[in-house]
Amino acid sequence: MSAANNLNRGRTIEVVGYLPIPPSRTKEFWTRWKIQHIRQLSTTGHATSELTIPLAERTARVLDKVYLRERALPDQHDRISTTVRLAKDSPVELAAPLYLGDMSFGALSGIPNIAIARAADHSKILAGTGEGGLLKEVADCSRITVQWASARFGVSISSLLKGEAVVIKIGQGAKPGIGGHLPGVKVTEPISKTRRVPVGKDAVSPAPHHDIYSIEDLGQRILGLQEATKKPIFVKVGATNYIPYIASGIARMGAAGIIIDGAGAGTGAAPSVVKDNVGVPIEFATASVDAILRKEGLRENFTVISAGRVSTPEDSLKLMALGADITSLGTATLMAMGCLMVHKCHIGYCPAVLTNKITPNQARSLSLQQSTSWVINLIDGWTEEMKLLMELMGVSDVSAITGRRDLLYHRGLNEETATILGLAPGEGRTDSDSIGEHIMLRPPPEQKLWSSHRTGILMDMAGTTGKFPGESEISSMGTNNPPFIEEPVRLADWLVSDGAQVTRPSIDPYREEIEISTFIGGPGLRLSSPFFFTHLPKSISVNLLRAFAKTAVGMGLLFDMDETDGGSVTDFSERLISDITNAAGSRLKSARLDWYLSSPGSASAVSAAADGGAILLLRSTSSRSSIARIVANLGKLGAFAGVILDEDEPTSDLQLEMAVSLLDRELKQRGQRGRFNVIAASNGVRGTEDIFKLIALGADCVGLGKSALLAIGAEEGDKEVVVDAKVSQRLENFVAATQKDIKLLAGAAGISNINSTLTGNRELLRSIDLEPAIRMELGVKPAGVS
Amino acid sequence: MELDNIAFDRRFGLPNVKDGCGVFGMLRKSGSPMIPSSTAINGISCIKYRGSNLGAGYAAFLTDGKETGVSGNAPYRIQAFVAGEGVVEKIQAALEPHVGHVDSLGTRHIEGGASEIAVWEGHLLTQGSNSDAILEKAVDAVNESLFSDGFHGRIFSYGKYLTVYKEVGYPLEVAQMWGIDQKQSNEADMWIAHTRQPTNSPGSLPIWSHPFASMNTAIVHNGDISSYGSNMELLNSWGLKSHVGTDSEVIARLLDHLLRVEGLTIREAATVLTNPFERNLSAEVKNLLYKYRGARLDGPFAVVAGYADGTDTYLVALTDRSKFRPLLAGEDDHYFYLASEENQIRIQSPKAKIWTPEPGSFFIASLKQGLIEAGTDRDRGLQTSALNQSLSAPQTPALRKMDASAMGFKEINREISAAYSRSEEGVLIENCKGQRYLGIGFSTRAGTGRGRFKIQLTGFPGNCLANLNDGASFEVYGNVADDLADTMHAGSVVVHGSARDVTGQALQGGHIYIRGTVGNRAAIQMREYEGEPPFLIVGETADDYLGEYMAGGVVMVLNLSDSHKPARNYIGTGMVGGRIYIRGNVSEDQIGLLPQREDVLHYLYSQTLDGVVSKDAYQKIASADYPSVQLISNYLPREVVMRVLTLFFATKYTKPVLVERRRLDDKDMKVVGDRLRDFFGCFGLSDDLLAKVLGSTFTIIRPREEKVEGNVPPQETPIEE
Repeated sequence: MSAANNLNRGRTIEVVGYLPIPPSRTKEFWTRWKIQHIRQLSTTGHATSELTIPLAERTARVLDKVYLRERALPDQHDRISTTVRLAKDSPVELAAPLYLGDMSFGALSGIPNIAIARAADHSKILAGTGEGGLLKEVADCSRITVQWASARFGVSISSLLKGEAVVIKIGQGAKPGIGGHLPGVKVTEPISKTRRVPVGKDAVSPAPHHDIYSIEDLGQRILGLQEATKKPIFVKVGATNYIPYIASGIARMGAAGIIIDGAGAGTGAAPSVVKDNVGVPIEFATASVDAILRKEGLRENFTVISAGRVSTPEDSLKLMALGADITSLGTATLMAMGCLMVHKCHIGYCPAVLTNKITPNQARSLSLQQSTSWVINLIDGWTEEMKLLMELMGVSDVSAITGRRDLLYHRGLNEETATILGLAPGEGRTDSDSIGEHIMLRPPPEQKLWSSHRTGILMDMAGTTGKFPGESEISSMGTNNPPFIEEPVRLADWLVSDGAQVTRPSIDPYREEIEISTFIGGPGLRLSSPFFFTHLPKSISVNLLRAFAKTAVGMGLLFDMDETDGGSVTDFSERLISDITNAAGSRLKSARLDWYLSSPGSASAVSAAADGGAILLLRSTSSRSSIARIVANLGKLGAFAGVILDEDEPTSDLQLEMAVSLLDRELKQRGQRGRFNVIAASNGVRGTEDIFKLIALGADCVGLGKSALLAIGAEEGDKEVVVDAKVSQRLENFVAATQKDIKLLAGAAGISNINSTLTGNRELLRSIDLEPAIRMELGVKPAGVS
Repeated sequence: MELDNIAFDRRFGLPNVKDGCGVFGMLRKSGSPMIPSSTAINGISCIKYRGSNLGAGYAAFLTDGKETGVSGNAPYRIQAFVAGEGVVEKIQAALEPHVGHVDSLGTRHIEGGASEIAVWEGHLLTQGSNSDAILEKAVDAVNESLFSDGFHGRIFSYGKYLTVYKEVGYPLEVAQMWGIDQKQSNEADMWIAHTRQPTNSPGSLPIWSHPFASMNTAIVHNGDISSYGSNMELLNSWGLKSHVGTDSEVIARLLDHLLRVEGLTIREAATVLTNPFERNLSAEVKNLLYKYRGARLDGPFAVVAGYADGTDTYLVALTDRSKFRPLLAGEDDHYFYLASEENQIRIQSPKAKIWTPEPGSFFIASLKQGLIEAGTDRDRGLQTSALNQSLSAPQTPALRKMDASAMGFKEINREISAAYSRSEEGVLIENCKGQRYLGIGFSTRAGTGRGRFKIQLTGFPGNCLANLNDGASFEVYGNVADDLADTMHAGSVVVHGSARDVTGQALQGGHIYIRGTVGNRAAIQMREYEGEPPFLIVGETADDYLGEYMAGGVVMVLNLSDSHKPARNYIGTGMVGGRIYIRGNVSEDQIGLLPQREDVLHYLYSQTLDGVVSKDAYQKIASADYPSVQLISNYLPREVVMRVLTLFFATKYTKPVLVERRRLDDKDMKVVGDRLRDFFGCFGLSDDLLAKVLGSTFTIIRPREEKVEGNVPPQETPIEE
């Protein structure tokens, strides 16, 4: 009996229809319109009446500001061809330039895996199989690729010989640089059999391939797999900072092609902090990869497959015109089989029974026949819409579209983004619709900072809600993060961090050492993590204040008393930042300080104490004038170990990101950065991503207050919340989870020490469609540029 | 010339050019013959497959006055690439106001090199204590002006004791272009050499070829540092503005400046650059690391550096914290060697003592002082002693012999398959010279053979030997390289020498015996799936991450020569199944990934402040070397122990492992006894030694079966795929 049949012994109800689409509480990339469009294709197998995404459905995504140029040629319809070759000299032809995701058995529950493989066979396209080994029914299909991934699940010489190609999976768009983990309880008999792993033991995919730490290592593995299988070898990567170089290297190393998975792509489960902050969108990656391959004479013999948010046939064609040979449908395929985008894959409960836990005797299961037919229809309908669009574009051969940027135009992209994509503006309205520079640079208004989604994550981390206190938040399917879906609020929302792939390995944050400690004023004042508590409301209860002070001591942070009453926490004085006028710090007052305090427009001075030592810090506004003043008076500030730039000061007129970056660069230019710490503080610091990006822009340490209060469920600091051991524990959990989040982002970027490697390392960041003037002042490169 | 427009559009900043490669370094010992260029060319050309035709180079270090080392008045040697008319004049005009007259030694076109680019060389004699700084500043300024709008030229070397030869091409081609391929034509105290594998090649300019020189320091490098952005910002803050965008150049300038400008000793500079883990550092080192944090390197690197100060000449190697890139050190009577692969050293010196510097370590040797730092405090003989006893295979007439010295891997693999399908017993492949992939894709379960097959090898087989092995019996009479027996399902691999990094990754059937040592990450992801458990038995020692992610099977490290460090750190990290047996002492903080001492102590201290933990208990724990789970459990109430475990020692994904220290008992022997005796038999080891091993204490590591409390019920854990 086959593995798939094993799954469905006993009485099960077969699912043969679509469930109604539930209303979405948050902004979604996969809107009702997109889901319905796919359902219509998958039900009928034919084109719909809406070939392009209606204006109202277009998001702030760059690809949504790109349009196909219509220049209809008559009588093309019968001659339109959608056939492409899998790889140069490959005997394999695809009836349409479509590849069906790389979704594993384990991420999907078996029936969908078989439906996808069979549909690919039937429609003569190609399907990936993910790192889950091959079910017998899948192995029996020929139009599949077999994956060689970091854990080697299901890999043997006989499995590698199945299918048309081998895919070396280095990374994926939702979580470049992050490994996978299937808990032992989910490793049931069928999973064990296909993955070739022991039943009941966790199945862990390491973050990097431990035999591939560099480009020549990848070359070694490509050649080795070619020698073993005599098949074309593809390499799958997430779209990250260096994607043009990575693609060029992969081509140079003899691979037949690359699968590039863009930011926002779907996943069975990934840490939210990585999903929301690592990687660049597929349109940037596709265009820059195509450009560099052409420049280096490597494009001809190389297949580029673009994945990640390919939501309509129009998206497929636009990505092809930007440089893809083939586009990959992952989430769209799941929607064809009934996915409702409820983001529940990771908890094993899928209303559409696509991703639920694999056990015998399931109550409900997907109809294999129905789901296969849905996917076949999807491919047919998708292909038909592509043909109709090609007719409008006046192109008869789909493979001729690749790299033809002249078939596209844009509306409302800034000039820099348009340059990187190689696009000209359309006629008529061409003005950039981005937000004015002056507004973007001001500290963000508080009411925009806290979405319920964001607050929910913080509360889960603290254990106020949710089931995993002290752990990073895990979620499934694509992100809806700013700047494209949710509205961007801080400059950080336009910045993404790197995922290390191919040229260097990422680091597993759970099993390998990543140091996140930081130091202020010298090696003596060590913080366990590069953040601290600050800006608690003046009216905060004594008990809550004490909980913060105690957690600062216990978790090795600092606690900036700011305007709160320090008298009640003197027993936790080891880790306090206090105003200089407080008794604790007054002995540090010096002549230099007197001078600074007495000059007009001054900020205050504070002392930071830890483990018996004490240092002196300035507290200053987040503004250009403060920065200029600090820089102009550096010679007189010898008594100070650094400055706290405070975004919440009433006279602050600059976002912390910019203030930190400017001061860091000014200090470096004067050779003074080594002795002067840059500390950022704001109630607008929303969590790990803001901390991490502020450090990369030049901060040593970041202060937060409101996010911690929200996390522990004490949003209103003046209300007496239940303060008992639980609140302390929540705070500790929040710190522990934030530490893990920081390690996740660091590990993904291949950083093993925050203090030496992240601080001021702007090279790790890329901006996404940010105003060029602001980007340059921050000192960050745009996405799509290596 | 054709350049990548985006990469050269300064609006977008300097491109971060990335490459991989092979490295080589060689230093003569005092009184030993000078090293001819041909030796350096051979040392790098034999691993040409690590690189490409897109860049190679050499740096020769020579201090006039030789062993006396007095050469205070040596001229600076200026070497520049020039593209276009008037560039030489521009360089001279830019330098001379600062450093006085520059003697032009002429311009020459490099035959076969990058088009339209010539090399100009000059000499300048300048006096004064500050001449280095003045020259460097002038060089930086002229380089910046030549690179601001496209590429016009670049001074790539300006020290007193070194000459750099680099271009676009394979190592031998580059040597020919420069005319240093003639035997005995160029002799030096020390050479470093490089073959380059760029991920991309913006315009294929020779400025991206290694070595990178900064005054009297030059480096070659294999890796891609994640600290590049931070390091570059430090260089900028030191006033150094002109760079070509590779991390290798950044490392050269950091090393030069730490030594020459900051006045660090070579040991201090190497410490800063290698960026040691925070655990167990002295206060002085912490100060140094704080002061020069922007100079610390992160991410993968294997750096080979040369440095001469006029009185002595140093060969230096730096390895990253995780030793992500290969690097071997070697020594014989006359020379020190550094290389990416073993055959680079063996072809020059078949009997050299060869060892692997440990992760996060550095190697330093000097012409006058000999070996200063080996990069390991273990017995360096161990990795080769086993090998030197049995370099040749026993003659088995039944095996078809072939001489691999002139064969490629494809040809050898074809011969293996052919012999198997003719139902032969096996093959003896002699004189391997670094060929990779031997035996890959071969299965005794497919085809027409007898269902078993012997593959014996002598010489030095390269990376990826016996990958995906599915039933063959490999026996190697020598050392093997990286990635041995990846995803092996059945059969055996017996190695009479040592194995390097990532031995037996995802091993799921059969057994591997290594007589000598293994490098980093042996037996990672080893697993037990169906049938007998797989085995890896190592005769001597192992490096970091032994058995990481292990999910089944048995690893034994026998430490037969009684090293004080049978295994290094992070043993069994992320382990979920199987057992690791290590003979000899392994301390608790070598096992798994543990929290920092201070972090745990801070927490316990905070609990004393409101009386949850007594001051007395805290003092007892704080005075120990490490606040281990065991120690904490002895002194603190259960709730506190559970909280400490949850916050610091365990995560949703990783739990502390169980560690026992004892002799092997009957239950163990039932599992490992036969294999252990088989291992001793294979290598002809004595019964006395076996008895000694069986009488010894082992550290036995296995995962906890029960879940750590304080974490959530297992049925709630998410699928993460």
